[in-house]
Amino acid sequence: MPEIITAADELIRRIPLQPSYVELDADGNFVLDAQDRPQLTSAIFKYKPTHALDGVSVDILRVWVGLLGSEAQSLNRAVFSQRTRGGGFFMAGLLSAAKPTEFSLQSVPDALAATATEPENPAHALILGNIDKTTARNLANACRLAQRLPAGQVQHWSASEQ
Amino acid sequence: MPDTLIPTRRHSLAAPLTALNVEQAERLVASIWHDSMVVGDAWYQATAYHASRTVMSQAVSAFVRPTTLLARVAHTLRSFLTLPADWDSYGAQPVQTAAVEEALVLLQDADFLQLLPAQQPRLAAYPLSNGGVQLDVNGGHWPLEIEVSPDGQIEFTFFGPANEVLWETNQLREAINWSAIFNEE
Repeated sequence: MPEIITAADELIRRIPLQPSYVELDADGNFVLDAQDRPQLTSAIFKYKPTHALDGVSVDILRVWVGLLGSEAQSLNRAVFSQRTRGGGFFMAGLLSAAKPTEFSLQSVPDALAATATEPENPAHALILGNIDKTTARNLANACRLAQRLPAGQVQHWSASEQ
Repeated sequence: MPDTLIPTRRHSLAAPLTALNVEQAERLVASIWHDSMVVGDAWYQATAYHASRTVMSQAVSAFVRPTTLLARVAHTLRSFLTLPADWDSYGAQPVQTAAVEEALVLLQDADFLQLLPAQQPRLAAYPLSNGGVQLDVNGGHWPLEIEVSPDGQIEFTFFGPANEVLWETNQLREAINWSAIFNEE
């Protein structure tokens, strides 16, 4: 039965930390807002030209939890795909599925079959619609990091801290 | 608080020096921020004036901090050129040289400092999935995003409290004017 995305769902978007999509201060430490939340840039949700056709990729957390059992495993699976394991740090950004709807966007399930380079992704979904600058900022503001950022400067992290 | 800085006896034996006022010193450092040796000279020259050490310590902290910030962001921008295709794992394009070069030219424009908030300026560079780059200016009244397209076209966008677009322009001078207006509110 095809998945249906509800407002209660959480969508996972991989957020690169090298290069960092979280603002760093002059010393390379993360800038936090008044609520102690990292400052994410709207660049997370800005399109490449083909996005206008195929949408912004996300994973549905609930689908992964149903398959893997725990939220931690699900986040790991969503963030450390075959492709991202090869290099760079990524963290899971969580976005309430209600937010794209609030900004006149549509979230649709889009399960992916395995390819030569990628395993299957039954939790894959797309955010469709026109993401202008205001919407990109609103989505970034609504997005939160699923894991707590490790302390210290990102360039000094070891791979085991991912 | 003196506006013009008086040379000390220490300098009277050296090559003749013209006294710098704060604005001149700022402009000097801003225009050559990328050259640490020259920044060092400006610091030396500025702090060498006996009567105005306090004045210059304020001035130096006001413009050396932003220039350090600019240097760090410039370093980050250059690092984007080493990103492979698909650096974001979602099929991003490699960052284009034209985008980085235009962003660096913008940072090196002495007037660019006027876009940075006077208190606690925050400036960060990010790659865009289309091969361009983005500079985020925060810490002021209203945030500013500067998008540089893969072919080097620059667009300044100011945002309001609900992230609505307040103003867009392609011109640095116009952006500076609007920045001054928005930050006066």
